[in-house]
Amino acid sequence: MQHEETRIDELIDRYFAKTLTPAETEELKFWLGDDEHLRYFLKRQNLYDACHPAFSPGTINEERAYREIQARLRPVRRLFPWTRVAAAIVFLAIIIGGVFLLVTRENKITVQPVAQHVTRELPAVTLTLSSGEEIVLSDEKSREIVADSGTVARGDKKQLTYASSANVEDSVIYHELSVPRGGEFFLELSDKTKIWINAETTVRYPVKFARGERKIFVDGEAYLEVHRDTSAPFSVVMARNEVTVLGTAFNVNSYPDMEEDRVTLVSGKVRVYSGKKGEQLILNPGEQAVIQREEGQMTKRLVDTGIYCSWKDGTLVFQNNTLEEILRVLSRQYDVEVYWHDETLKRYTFSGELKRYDNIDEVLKLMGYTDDVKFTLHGKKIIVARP
Amino acid sequence: MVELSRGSDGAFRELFDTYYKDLVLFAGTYIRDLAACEDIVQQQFVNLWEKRGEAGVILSLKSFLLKSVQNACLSELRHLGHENKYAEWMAETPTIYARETEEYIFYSELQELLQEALEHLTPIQRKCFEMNRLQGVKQQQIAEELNVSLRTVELRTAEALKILRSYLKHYFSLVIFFLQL
Repeated sequence: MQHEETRIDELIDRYFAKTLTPAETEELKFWLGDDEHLRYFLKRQNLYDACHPAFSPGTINEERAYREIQARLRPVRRLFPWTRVAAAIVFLAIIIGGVFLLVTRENKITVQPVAQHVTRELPAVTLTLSSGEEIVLSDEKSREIVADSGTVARGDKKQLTYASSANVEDSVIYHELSVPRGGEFFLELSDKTKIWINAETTVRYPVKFARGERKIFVDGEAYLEVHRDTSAPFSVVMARNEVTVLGTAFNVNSYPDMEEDRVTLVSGKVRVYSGKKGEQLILNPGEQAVIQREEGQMTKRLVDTGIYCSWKDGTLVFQNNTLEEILRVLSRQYDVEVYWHDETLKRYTFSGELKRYDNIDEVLKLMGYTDDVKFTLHGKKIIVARP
Repeated sequence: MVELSRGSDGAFRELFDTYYKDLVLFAGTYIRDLAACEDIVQQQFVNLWEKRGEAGVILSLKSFLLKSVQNACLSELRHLGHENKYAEWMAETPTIYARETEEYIFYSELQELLQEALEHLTPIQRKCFEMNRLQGVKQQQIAEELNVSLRTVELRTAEALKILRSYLKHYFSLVIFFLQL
């Protein structure tokens, strides 16, 4: 008996070490036919597993996981049932202090838009030609952009449209658009692909695309409606990752100060490549790829794409976002600096929707109604403190 | 009603904090893909929350969560067309396993157990043991660092092993696998 037990322990050890011969595997399996034996084996297996975790426990981000569960639990439609109806009404639904499973805990605040609406002055966008020459796009009226090979585009301070053109054989000429903090821009490329460019984002693209391939570079956030052309796949290259598409609409978010890159697909199909891991995955409409900055870990989830893409229509949607995340977005959109008087406030979560063209002080006033946080605006600085 | 729901909220968060990481590691024993495991475990929490009205049916949350994560993993493996010996054995004897879940020892539970066991050592025993067995420091080096003889380090480490072995005797295999005693 003693001998048998030693023998079995050895087999189990070698099973964990994956060094069993097929004959020994059969022997172990036979031994496991007994209930008591199986219990013993499972206990050993359990302890072995607990001692050899499949993943480093430190890499499991529980806060992010909890937020993702929240997102799955409460589709945004239920949260904002009357947003479409009351499009003109700015509101913030506020959820206090980390308890956000309950709809009853939301304080909804409805405020009529301020009568005298002060329009935000958009900062000028810079276009850099292949020669290195910089053109500041500040014209109210549309003008022609004359570059390397003659007139290539028309545009003003809000948008730029490239002359549509067939793809070229020879080497491509690149232009680069830089949208500063507080800005936004609309770009139409020579292949009729439409790009909404968010604040603090640089996009580099060919004036005319090469035959068989369309490739652009995005650093920051952009929403794309790619003109379908099966003969030339369209790729968006981010600092670390890449997306390849045929004809489709999607959002890429790769701000360097974020912990992750996000690709959100609205329609069509895209393939996302994780630069760090060399992995790839295919997204279907409504899916989002999240690529961790540090490890290059790529995950896919179902999202309400509106939350991630509505910025292009001038609406900012937050759903259980932390104050830190919200203020990061606002500081980009309004070109303000944020100072935290109390770091613990960063973890407070808010949900809500606001028009991007509202004044920042109006937005802050709404969030201040929660009595949980106080904002003070000094010029271009926001100070966040406890009331 | 509000109070009740609010209580459930807190309970849900607590449940998540207690089990999330361990369940992901448990799922990792089936599927070696962190993202897939996180996805599976998150879905089980979502399911649990949505079933909260029927919570009375669930006798042990730990067993329930383990069981549902296991089922989701096995079904994912089937979906992927993977043949897995362990999964096969499990599938053949589901009732046995269901009985065991309450006794399943999670990664963090094992860590706690070990910490608890370490409390039973004297400071010098513990120091010698931790440096040698847990941090992989050579005994000669420990002797120099602690300014004691090599013999002392050997003795204290051996004592520590003996104490831990008797304390952890219920977890016989832990002694083998974790501490390589």
